Amino acid sequence: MTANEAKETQMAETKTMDRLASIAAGEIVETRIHPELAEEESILDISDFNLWYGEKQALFDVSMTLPRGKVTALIGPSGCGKSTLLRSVNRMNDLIDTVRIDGSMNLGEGNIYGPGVDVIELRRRMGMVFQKSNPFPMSIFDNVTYPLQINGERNKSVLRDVCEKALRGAALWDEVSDRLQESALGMSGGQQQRLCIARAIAAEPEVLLMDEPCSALDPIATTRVEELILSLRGEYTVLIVTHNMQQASRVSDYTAFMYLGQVLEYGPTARMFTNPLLQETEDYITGRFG
Amino acid sequence: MNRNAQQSGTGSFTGQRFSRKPRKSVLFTDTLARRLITASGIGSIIAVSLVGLFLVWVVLPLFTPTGLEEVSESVQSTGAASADSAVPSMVHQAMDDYGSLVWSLHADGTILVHEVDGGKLLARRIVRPGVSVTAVKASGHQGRVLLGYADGTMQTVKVGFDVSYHNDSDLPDTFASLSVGERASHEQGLVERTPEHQLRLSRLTIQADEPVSLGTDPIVLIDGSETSGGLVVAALDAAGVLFDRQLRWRKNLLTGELRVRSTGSDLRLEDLRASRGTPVALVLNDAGDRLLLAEIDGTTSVLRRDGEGEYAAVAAVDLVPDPNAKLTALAFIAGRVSLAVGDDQGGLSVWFPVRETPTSQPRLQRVHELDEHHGVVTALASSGRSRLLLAGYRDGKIRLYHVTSHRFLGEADLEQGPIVAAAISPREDLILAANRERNALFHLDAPHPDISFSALLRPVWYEGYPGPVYAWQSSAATDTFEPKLSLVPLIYGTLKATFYSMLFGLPLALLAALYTSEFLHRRTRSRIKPVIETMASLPSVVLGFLAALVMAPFVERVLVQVLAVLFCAPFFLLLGAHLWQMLPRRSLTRLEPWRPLAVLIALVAGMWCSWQWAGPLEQIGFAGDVKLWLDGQIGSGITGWFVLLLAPAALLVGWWNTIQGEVLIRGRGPGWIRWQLGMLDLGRFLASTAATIVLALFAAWMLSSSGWDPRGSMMDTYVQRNALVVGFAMGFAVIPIIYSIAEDALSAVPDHLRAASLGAGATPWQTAFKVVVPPAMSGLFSAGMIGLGRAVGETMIVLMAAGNTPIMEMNIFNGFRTLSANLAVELPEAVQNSTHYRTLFLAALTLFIMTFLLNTIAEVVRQHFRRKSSQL
Ligand SMILES: Nc1ncnc2c1ncn2[C@@H]1O[C@H](COP(=O)(O)OP(=O)(O)OP(=O)(O)O)[C@@H](O)[C@H]1O
Ligand SMILES: [Mg+2]
Repeated sequence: MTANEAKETQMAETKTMDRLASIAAGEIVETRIHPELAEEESILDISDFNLWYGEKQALFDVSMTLPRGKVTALIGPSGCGKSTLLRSVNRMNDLIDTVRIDGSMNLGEGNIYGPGVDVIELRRRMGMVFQKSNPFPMSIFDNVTYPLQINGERNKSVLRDVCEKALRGAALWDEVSDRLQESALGMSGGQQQRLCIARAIAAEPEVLLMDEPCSALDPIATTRVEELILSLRGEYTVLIVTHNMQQASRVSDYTAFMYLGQVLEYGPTARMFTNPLLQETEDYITGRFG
Repeated sequence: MNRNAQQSGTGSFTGQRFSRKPRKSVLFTDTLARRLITASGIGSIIAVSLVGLFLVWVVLPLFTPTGLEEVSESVQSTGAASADSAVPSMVHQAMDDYGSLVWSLHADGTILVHEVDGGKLLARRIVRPGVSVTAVKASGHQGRVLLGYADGTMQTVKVGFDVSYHNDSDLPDTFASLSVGERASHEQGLVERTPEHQLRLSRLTIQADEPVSLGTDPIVLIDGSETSGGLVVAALDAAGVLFDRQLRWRKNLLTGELRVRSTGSDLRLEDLRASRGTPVALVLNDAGDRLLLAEIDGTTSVLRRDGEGEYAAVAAVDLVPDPNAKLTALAFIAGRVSLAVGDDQGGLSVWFPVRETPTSQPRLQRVHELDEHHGVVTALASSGRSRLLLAGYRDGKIRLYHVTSHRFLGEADLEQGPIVAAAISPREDLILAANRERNALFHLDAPHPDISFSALLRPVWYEGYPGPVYAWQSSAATDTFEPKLSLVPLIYGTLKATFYSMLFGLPLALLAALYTSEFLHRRTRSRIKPVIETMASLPSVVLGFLAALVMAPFVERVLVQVLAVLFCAPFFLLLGAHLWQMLPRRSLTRLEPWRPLAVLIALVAGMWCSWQWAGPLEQIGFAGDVKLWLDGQIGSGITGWFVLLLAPAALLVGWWNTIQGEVLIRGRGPGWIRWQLGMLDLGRFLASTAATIVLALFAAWMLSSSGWDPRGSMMDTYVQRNALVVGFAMGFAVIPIIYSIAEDALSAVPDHLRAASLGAGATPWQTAFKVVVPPAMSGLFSAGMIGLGRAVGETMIVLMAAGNTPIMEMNIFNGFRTLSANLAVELPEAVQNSTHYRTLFLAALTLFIMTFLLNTIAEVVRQHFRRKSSQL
């Protein structure tokens, strides 16, 4: 690194630091959205979405679209609102008494937060995988087919079929095919997480929401889940939150970088990781802050 | 400090160094706390165990074996004992209240008085010297002796004990040296030093009336009974004439002499009865209205005697059904109602008159079979105050029984010769048994002869009852009363109270817990929970008071309305819910805050309607008067069945609906708009309601037309303080505790499970039932068990509102008595260490065990649940 280059970098750094400081001070910056996104068919439209936990605002004017059939990754430092945004998509935030929102999210034509929306139906259109695995204290079979069972599906052969497909999809079938009737709580942590993924995809959701699905998994299981996500691409739209940059780069088509409740930059993963529009993005991805 | 860090040279984040060793004060507090906690823990365990042990310690004597022990070798000679002349065989003997004197009656009419200890002869009296005695009877425990003579006359003798208290100066100096409890004879009587240092002089008084002439032939059998109209005497002479006499005493005011007047008639025996055999025993019952003439083979004619002394044969019974056996002993036991019968095959049974129906004539029945095959029964003696029966045998054995409890209490052996007469002292602490040679004295230690496990827990046939029953009746006014100490009615009452209060309280508490934990906002929940828990601090005496004095009369007045509300309120609630979901979604979100108000309106509407409809409903269903209907006087049982079956029918229809009906709706799903679907659902609901009613009506009709009537079991005569009222009031008492534990159990289910379920698109209701309730199940179960434990032990509410009649009826409209209320009512007045007292402690022990078991089960399940939920 020449002295000049070094000086340039340092200047750039101070510049980003200034910007980050002003965001922290409450400035609302416009999201830098890469032009490639305009060409994609969108399935979810988020526009000017704000969210408050009581008095504290957690999301600021978030506007982005989710391309259909693609994997989108949400990255950003801890506490920047990734989970909040993800939960807003299927209105899991409704469960928190203090939450207040503003702005709109449109799934297809309907506004998710519209007055006549059936939240139950909305959630059935989306699958959700949580950061911490949360299998029900029931058999593996009942866990996987739960979304169908609550929908009134009682046909055993349909249920068995779906169960097998979902477990295969989650790369779990070979491990548990002979103990489907045993309790899911007897599985290992990694298996439990894959079971939750199987449960999320069993009902054929339009959108799959994943909040750090691999944070509790060992490398092998992580690879499995990543393979699964890759295989889902095309059929499902996936929104995944991750702290693992390699993972984001491996599995996602698009990446959004969030900072303190704002989406700073949103674009194709390849571009975001090699040639981002914002210095802050590059700094975060390369690990210079976070 | 800083320097310190530098000196040490090792790295330090804070620049400070801390000692790795815990401080002295920390260690001290730790040890102290540990010791204290251990001590108080062990202390409380010991305290609880001590309570249990104390109960056991008080109860145990109920079941200790009886002591029957011979005191001194030979108390007195009975046969050729008296120095001057031989005395014929003894026929009867009795002791005084203090167990110090005994008088015996002999076949020739001689009366001897002995000292019990040592057997010294104190007095000897021949009532009517010169005329030979041909019939002797000592009847009852009042000391009345009847003598029949060879010249056809009879005589009544009253034998009694005259007791007087004296100071040392009143009596000769020889007694001054007596110490407490010591005895000495004096003028045909006995002097004893009482614990109060007085001298008690007991003397036998024998007061013989003048003989009454009956006929000319020797009298062979005689008996008498003290009635309100005087002494009724029946005597039979050798020629077969039955003399009926009613004796009254009149005092000559001038001389102070008692003169006896007799009225009555003479009857020929062959006119009276069918049997031609020779009677060997004649007994007259307590009321003097039944005369029994028994022959040697046991054939017995029962004659009814009316007030005018007219006799008529009413029945013939065979007291000794065994054809080979011969009647050898026949005697009344205390109260002169039950008859003890012994035969030469060792059979010993007790008979008393039983009315099969309240209106039918009583019939003598063999009720208690005491023993078999212990040799020939030669003498029977009973206690004056309880159902103790002593049987003497030809081989010299005596055996002691308690008649009602069928308990064999003990035996002893005199070894030589048949027992001729025996006596149980009035205090039941001494027994005398005489054979021809000697009269042996036994110490009896049987404080609770009437208690046995079967008497406590099995049906017992008490005197005068049509059959064996479970009964609790611990005291009554008369001496000859049999205490009825079956725990079963009390346990039944406890279970009944528990059942009805849980029926009311359990669903309410569990649903309330589910509602607060799953459907209420967190903030509202945190306010509601403490409020419900404060309900627990409402003193149960206040609840009981309200139940007994406010609710009971109110419910009695508006019974139909209350019954109607039980069904109308849920109906209107569901109707309201169906209407609510037909509202357009937009207004729904706006109206959401008003939903509780809507619920309230639906409830009020349900109550209003049941109030409005009560009159017509009573007309149609209960023939215009529900009380009379419950009595079974009017109407048919169909309405009763209908009321009982409505809830099961609703469950059945609801179950079918979830299986089949939902498919119907889902099939319509797409393409239909909201209010249309709402209409469809409403229609389905109304159809289900109609189906429920039709189903219940049909089942009710089927049941009642096949002859079954619910009146008499689940519902019957209305009593103001009843299980329904207690159910309501005690339901209130158990709701807070069940609610609190159940809510904790539900809240303990981790939120991430709820999130997973809701995230998968489940409704809150589905989430609650499929995800939250199953892992909380054991917690809910233990909540129920603890509620059960509370209901079992609850006292004040049942004491005040249950009426406290110890009856065993399923009838929801009748009262009961629980173990706890029984303790509260009776323990204060029970004589310490009496059978009653100890039985009450047994009831307490039962209660203790019941609640202990319930709480243990609850705790075990709870532990299990804790272990399981830690995996979630
Ligand atoms: N239930 C809540 N109540 C109040 N504030 C909340 C709640 N959940 C999250 N927040 C706040 O909202 C902000 C965003 O939180 P969020 O969980 O979305 O962050 P995140 O980006 O997912 O972080 P991480 O990467 O650590 O999971 C944080 O500042 C957090 O403190
Ligand atoms: Mg998060």
